[in-house]
Amino acid sequence: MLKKNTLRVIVLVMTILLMVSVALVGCTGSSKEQSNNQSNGSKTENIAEQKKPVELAYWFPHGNATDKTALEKAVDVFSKANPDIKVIAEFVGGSGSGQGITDKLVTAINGGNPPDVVLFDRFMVSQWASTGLFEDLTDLAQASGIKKDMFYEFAINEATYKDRLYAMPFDTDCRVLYYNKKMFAEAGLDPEKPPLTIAELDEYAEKLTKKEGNRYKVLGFIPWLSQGWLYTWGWSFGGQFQDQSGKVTANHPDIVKALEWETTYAEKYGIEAITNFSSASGGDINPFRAGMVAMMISGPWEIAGLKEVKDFDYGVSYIPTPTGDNFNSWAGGWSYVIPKGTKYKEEAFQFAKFMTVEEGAAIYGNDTAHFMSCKDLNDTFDWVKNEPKAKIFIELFPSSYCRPPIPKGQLLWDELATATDKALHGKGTPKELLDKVNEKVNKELGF
Amino acid sequence: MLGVKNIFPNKNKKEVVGWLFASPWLIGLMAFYIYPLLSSIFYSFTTFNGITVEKFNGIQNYIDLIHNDVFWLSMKNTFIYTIIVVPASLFLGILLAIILNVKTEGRGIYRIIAFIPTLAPVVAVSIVWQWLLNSQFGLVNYILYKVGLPGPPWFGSELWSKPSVALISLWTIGTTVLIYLAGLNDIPKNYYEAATIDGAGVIRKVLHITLPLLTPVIFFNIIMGIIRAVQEFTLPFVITNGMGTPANSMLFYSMLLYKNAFQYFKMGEANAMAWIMFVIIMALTLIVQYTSKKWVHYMGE
Amino acid sequence: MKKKINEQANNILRHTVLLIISMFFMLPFYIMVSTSFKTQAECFVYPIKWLPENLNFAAYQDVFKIIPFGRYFINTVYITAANVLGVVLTCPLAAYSLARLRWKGREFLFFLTIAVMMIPYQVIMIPIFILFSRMGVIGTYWPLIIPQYFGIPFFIFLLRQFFKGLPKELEDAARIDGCSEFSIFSKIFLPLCKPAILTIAIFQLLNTWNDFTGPLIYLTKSKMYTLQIGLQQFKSVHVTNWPPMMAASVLISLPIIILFFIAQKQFIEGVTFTGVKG
Repeated sequence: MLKKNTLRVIVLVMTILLMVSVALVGCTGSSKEQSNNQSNGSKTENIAEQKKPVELAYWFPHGNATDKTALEKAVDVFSKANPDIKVIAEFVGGSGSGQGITDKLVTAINGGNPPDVVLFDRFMVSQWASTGLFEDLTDLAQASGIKKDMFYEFAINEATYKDRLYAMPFDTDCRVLYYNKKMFAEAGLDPEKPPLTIAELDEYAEKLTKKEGNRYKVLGFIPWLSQGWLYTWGWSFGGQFQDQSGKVTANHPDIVKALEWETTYAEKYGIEAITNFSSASGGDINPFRAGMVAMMISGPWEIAGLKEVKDFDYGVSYIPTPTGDNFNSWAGGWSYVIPKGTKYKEEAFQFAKFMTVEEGAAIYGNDTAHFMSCKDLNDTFDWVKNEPKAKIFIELFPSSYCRPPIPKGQLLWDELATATDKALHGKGTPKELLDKVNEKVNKELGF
Repeated sequence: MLGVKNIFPNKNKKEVVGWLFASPWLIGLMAFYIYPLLSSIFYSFTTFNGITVEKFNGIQNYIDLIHNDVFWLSMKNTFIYTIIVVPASLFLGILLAIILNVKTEGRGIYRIIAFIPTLAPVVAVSIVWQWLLNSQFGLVNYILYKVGLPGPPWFGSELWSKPSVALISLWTIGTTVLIYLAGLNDIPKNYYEAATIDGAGVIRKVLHITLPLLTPVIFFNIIMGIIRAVQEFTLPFVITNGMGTPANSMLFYSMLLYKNAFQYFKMGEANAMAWIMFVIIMALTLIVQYTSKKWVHYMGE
Repeated sequence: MKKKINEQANNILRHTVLLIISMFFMLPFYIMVSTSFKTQAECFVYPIKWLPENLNFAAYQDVFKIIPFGRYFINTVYITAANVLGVVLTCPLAAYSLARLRWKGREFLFFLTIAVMMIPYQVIMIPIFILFSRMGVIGTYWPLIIPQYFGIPFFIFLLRQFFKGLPKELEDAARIDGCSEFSIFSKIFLPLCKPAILTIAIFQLLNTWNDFTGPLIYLTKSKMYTLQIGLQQFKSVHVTNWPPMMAASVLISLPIIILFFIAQKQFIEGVTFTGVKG
C-alpha cells in the first residue's frame, strides 16, 4: 500500500516537472527564435560594416500613430548617418496616467536592466535627477557645442538640476485662450476682440452663458477647464511659484488672488453643475469642441483636433491678465534622458543631440505639428507657415514659464491640484489651503 | 484485519502525502510571496526611494503616515467604498446567481451577458462609464432629464463619486456570480426534491437549503470581496487620471500607495502603508474567519 | 388550462426581469461597440447617438495599421495557455492537501495562503523583479509564466472551499476499497471538482488576457508585447482617438466572449454530480 502510494506521488511529481519543462521549452523556443532573428539582422550589417555597431536601447511612450511614425523615421535617418550606432527603438506603454513610463523605468533601473536613452516628460527630470537616476550631461553638451541659448529659457531650466544639465529638451507647447467666434457673434460680442483683462473675461463669460431650465446649455468660461491649472492662473496674475533661494512660494499673494478669482466661478455657476464639464472626470469629452463652452485654456494640440469639426470658427488669444498686458503662459514638453548604468553614454548622447537640435528634431516637429524647444527650428516648419494660429504660441514661448524644477515636482503638482479642487468645493479658503501646500512641500524639500 | 488497518493508515505517511501535495505551492509561496514580503517589511523601516536605501529609518515612516491627513482621508475613502461595495455585491451576487440558475430558455445567453462586462478592457470600460455618467453630456442623466427626474452629479460630487465607482464595480460582478453559480451547481438535487415533497415553497428552499449549503462559497466571496475592495486601484486611478478628484474623494488607499512608490519616490513609506493595510485586512479576515465557525457549513465535516 | 396560463405569465415575467438585468450589463458594452463604428467627431455629439451615421470600418482598419494585431494576439494566446495549464496543474493539488489531508502545519499554511493575498502588488513588484533579474530572464516570457506553476493563492483558496464542501463518505468508501491517496484525489475528487477547476481556468485566462502591469514591466521588445500593451498605443498624452481604441477593445474581448460561450455549457450546465445525486 505504502509503496504504491509513494510511486503514485512520484509519478505525479514527474508529470508536473514534465509539464513545466514542456512550458519551458516553449519559452526558450520562442526566445531562441527571436535571438536568431536579431543575429540575422546584425549579420547583414556586419557584412556591410565589418564592425559590430553599438546597440542602443531607446524607449519612448508615444504610442499614437503620428508621433510613433515620426520618431521611427528619425531613428532611420540617424542609423543611416551613423552606421556604427544601431538604435533599437521600442514603444513602452505608460501606466494609465499618461505621465510616461515611470514604474517600468524605476523597476528596470533597479533590476540593472536600464535602456540607454529614454524620451521622458521634462517636468519630472529634476525629481529623477535628484534621486541619481540619470546621467549628468553637462560636460558632453559643452564638448559638443550645445549652448543654453539654443533652447527656450523655460526648457533649459526644466532640464537643469543644481546647475547641471540632465536632459536634452525635445518638443514643447504652451497654453493660450481658445474662443468660439460664432458664439461671440451670437452674444453680440466682436469675434475679433477676445478678452484681454480678467474683468473682460468675466463679463464675456457671463454674456456667453446660456441656461435651459436649471441646466446649463452653454457655459461662457470655466477657469479650471482643460489646461486652466493653478499654474496657468498663478502666473497670469503675476505670481511666482519659487523664490531665488529655491523655496516654493505656493502661497504667493498673487497666486492666492488667482485661486480666489477661480472660486468666484464655482460660487456663481455652482460647482457640481459644472464639474463634469472639466476633462479630468468627464471622460475626455471636449466641451469646447462640442460647442458647450465658449472659451477655454488649452495647448497647441487642439488645433489639429478642431480641424476635424465642420464649420468650427474659432480664434486663439493671450491668456487674460488682471492688467491686460504682460501676457505669459506655461510651457511643458518632453526631453531625452540617459539613465544611470548605460555602457554607451556618448553614443546615447549623440542620438539625443540628433533628436533635439539636429535633423531628428526637424523631422519630428515637421511631421507631427509639434513645436520644438530648439528655438530656431519652429519658423522653418511647413505647418507653421501654413497655420496662422501657430504664431501666437511662438510669440509666447520667450515669456513662458516652466513648473519649478524641484525634487518634489510631482508632489507640488498634486498638492496644488488638490488645493484648487478643495477651494472650488468650498473646503477651506484659498489662503489657508495654499499656506498648507507651501508648508508641506517646503518641509519635504528640507527648508 | 489487514483491510481495517488500511482504513486508518499510519500517521507519518499522511503527513508526507500532505506535504508532497502542497510542495509546489510551498516553493511558490516562499519565492513569490514570503521573500517579497520580508523585503517589504525591511523597506518599510528605511528611506528606500525605489533605487537605493539611504538609511535605516526606524518607525519614522509609520509616524509620518499617522501625522498625514491625506493618509487618513484615503483610508476613510477606502473604508466607505468597502462598506458600500462588499454587502452590495454579496446580496446582488447571490440574487443574480439564483435568478440565472433557474431553468429558462436562453439561460446560457443571459449568463454570458452578465459575464461580458468582466471581459472588456478596463481602459475602455471606464471611459464608456464616464461618458454614460457625465452629468452634463451623459446618457444616463439625459434619460433621467427626459423622464423629469433630477440627475445626480455622479463623478462630479464628493457624495456621489464613491457610489459611482461602486456601480461600475458591481457592473463587473460576473466573476462573483460565476463562483456562486458553480457553488449552486454543487448542491445535490435530491435535497430540493425532498423539500418539494415536504411542501416547501421557493423562499423556504432558498433559506433552508440553498443559503446554508452555499456558505463555504459565501465565506470565500466575502473575504475576497474585502481584499478586492480595500485594494481597489485601477478604476479610480483611470477615471480620475490618478488625481482622486473631486476634493480627494476618490483618492483610495492603493492609489496613495502607488503615488508614494512611483511618483513621489517614497518607497519606504509605500511599504509601510502596505503593512498597515495588511494588518487591517488581516483583522477583518480574522473576524470573518472567527464568526465563520458559526455560520459556514461544510458537507465534508 | 389555468396552470398553463400561470406558467406562461411566469415565463414572461422571468424574461422581463432577465432582459432588464441584461440591459444594465449590455449598455456600456453596446456603447463600446457602436463607438468603434463612429468617427471621432461623432463620439461627442449630445445627446448620444445610438447608431453611427454610417457603418464605418475605418477604425478597425486603423487597429491593424497601428499595431501588429496578429502577432500580439499569438503572444497573448501563448502566455495565456501556458498560465492556464500551470494553475490547473498545481492549484488543485495544494487545495486538496489543505482541504482533505490532515498534516501538521496545514492550518498555518492555509492562514499564510490567505494572508499573502492581502499585500498589494505594488510593493512586491520590485523584489520579484529583482529576483527575475538575477535569474536573467527579464525581456522573456518566463517571469509571466513561472509563478503560475507554483500556485496562485486565490485559486487555492477557491478550490479548497470546493473540496471541503464534498461529503466525507466519498473518501471513506474509497479508503475501504484500498485506493491510494493519489488515486482518491485523481479518480474521485478531481472529476467532481470539474466545474470549480474550469472556473479557475477561466479566471486565470481572464487575468492573463487582461493583465497589463506584468507584460509592461517584464517585456522589453515590442514584438513580444501582448494585446493589452497594444491597446496603450491608442492613447496619447493629450487627445485620444476613441474609435480605434474601442475597435481594438472589441477585438480583444471577442475571442474570450466566444470561448466563454463554448465553455459555459460545459461547466455550468453539463456537469452532473453523479457520485451524490443519484
